[in-house]
Amino acid sequence: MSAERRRRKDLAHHQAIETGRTRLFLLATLMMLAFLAVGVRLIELTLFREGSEPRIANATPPASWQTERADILDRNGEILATSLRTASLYADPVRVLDPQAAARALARLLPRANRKEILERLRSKRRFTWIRRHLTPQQQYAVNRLGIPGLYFQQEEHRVYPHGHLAAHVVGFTGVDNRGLAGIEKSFDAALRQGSGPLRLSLDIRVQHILADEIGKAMRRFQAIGGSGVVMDVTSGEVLGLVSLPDFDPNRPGAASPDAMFNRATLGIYEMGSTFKIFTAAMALESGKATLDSVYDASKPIRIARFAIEDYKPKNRWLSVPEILMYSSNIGAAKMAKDLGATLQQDYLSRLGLLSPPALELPEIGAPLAPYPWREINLLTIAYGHGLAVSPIQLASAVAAVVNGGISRPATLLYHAGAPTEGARILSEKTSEQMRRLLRLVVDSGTGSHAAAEGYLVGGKTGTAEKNDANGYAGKGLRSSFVGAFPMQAPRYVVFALLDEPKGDKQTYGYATGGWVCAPIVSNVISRMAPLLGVAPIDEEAPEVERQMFIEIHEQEKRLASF
Amino acid sequence: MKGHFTFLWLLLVAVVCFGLFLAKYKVQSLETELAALNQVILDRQEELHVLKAEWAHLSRPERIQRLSERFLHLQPVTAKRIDTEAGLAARLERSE
Repeated sequence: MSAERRRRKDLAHHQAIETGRTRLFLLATLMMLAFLAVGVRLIELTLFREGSEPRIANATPPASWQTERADILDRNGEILATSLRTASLYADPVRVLDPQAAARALARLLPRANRKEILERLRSKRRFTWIRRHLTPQQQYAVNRLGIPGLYFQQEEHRVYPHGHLAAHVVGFTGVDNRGLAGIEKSFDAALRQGSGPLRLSLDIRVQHILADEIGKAMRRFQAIGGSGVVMDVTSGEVLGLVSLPDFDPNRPGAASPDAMFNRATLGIYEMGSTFKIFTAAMALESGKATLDSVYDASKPIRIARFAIEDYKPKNRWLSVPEILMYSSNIGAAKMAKDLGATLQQDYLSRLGLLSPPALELPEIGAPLAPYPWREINLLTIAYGHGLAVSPIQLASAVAAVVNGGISRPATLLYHAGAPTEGARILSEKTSEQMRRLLRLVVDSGTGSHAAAEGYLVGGKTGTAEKNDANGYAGKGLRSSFVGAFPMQAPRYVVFALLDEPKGDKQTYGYATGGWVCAPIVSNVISRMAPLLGVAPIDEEAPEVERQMFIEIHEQEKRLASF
Repeated sequence: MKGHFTFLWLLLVAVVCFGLFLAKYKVQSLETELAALNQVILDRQEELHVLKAEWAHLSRPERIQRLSERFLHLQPVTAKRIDTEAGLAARLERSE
């Protein structure tokens, strides 16, 4: 019995050991696998991933210094608007021990400060009150030196426009909280605040300066009340210069008058006068209603309703298309438009972008003022630029489309490196080529002779409009302009200049028309900007240039003048 | 023999500990230095930014023109004085 018992006991014992052994084995296997995994990972990390110590230490790079609001640059990277850190002074009135003395000391220290106002603020029950925003470093130092308890500084950003009034209408300005209130600052407010790098404009600050300088000089000379100008790249629609005078300092927008803040180049809409004859001629040639040899009877004024359409310097004879542009004949232009009809005229004007607001990146955009209904009188007067008011930027883009080969491109203030943007064809290559010859003719031997800039083959058209008010055309104040393009054999830039109410002087024989007061501006601007922009001058008398610009004028004079 | 081994191990541990201690302190001081340098870089970037703004203000075309008219008496280049290399020969011929 005992043997049997022992055997059983042995068996139980044996079984227990077996179970223990199996468990131990399992545990050992698991542990081994775990260590193996660690070992493999160790080998992988040390031998395969990073064989040795990393050659370059992986330190986090320093965060680059950034402003809260991005800079605005011109096309060459010149700073037009930037943000600088300044200190703003505030007070905790509870902690100010002697408000009387503190107010006196501060009023003496800060320019244009009112002692009573500061005292009132220092006596208020609030725990926070602004004393003065954006101190200069010297002022901050001086306030610190006073050692008044309860005065503190808050670091703030202050928008600065290094170029001051130059380009003020384009760049715009911001309020005290750095929100854009006008110009690019307003239209790109969100993007600028996101701080996604500086915003590069198409503007060239040198061209902008030349344009502003020349228009300003002419304004002073002819005692004009305002002026505006545009320089535009005809192949990309980029605006290199956009001037509206009088202008203002965006560093102190509060001090500017509403008249100075008004952007005459984009928000102002004006009846442009004879520059519109460019479009009338282009339409007539493109539609096939006229050729360069067509002649129109300009021997006597057109009478329609209670109006009379007259020429400024009547030739009293039949005129061909080149002559109509050359002598700027209103009668001729009106007759050309009459052949076209109102539908075609509207169609072409709308394709030239003269009937809808331009898509420029500024909040200050004026919508053109078109007649409704479009009567016959409108058809005739719009032919020479009366009865339809557009902004200078619209006129410049439309002229760019006429001379660049007939492709209309939206004007833009953003940098495109001069690359041609997508555009819509509105005129044929042939019409555009004929228009280039016609515009060159106007400068070469017509009303625009003062716009000539030797070597740059300028072409263009004068424009003089009588200003009208509620009582109709006043008959005294003029709005004179000139739109030019250069070099005419392959135009690259359009230059537009406008003066509001210029008065003629001795040297202009009392004339204040576009040809006398604005054409010289365009000439000066072109001769100054062309070398900067790398436009090579050419010999205007070279035979191949003359051939390119040649135009045959059929003079009707001898035969018809005697009628 | 066993005592030697234990001693050797202890020595090794002590050496490694000391080495680690040194490295850690070195890294710590380098990190402080790096942070200080980064701050200096930021300060310099801000100074640079201010100087750039000042440069833009001082190099305003209007100011340069005023100074040039006052001190240099230079004139803008006219088209007549610009020519290509090819045009040069023709010009020389004409002047002869």
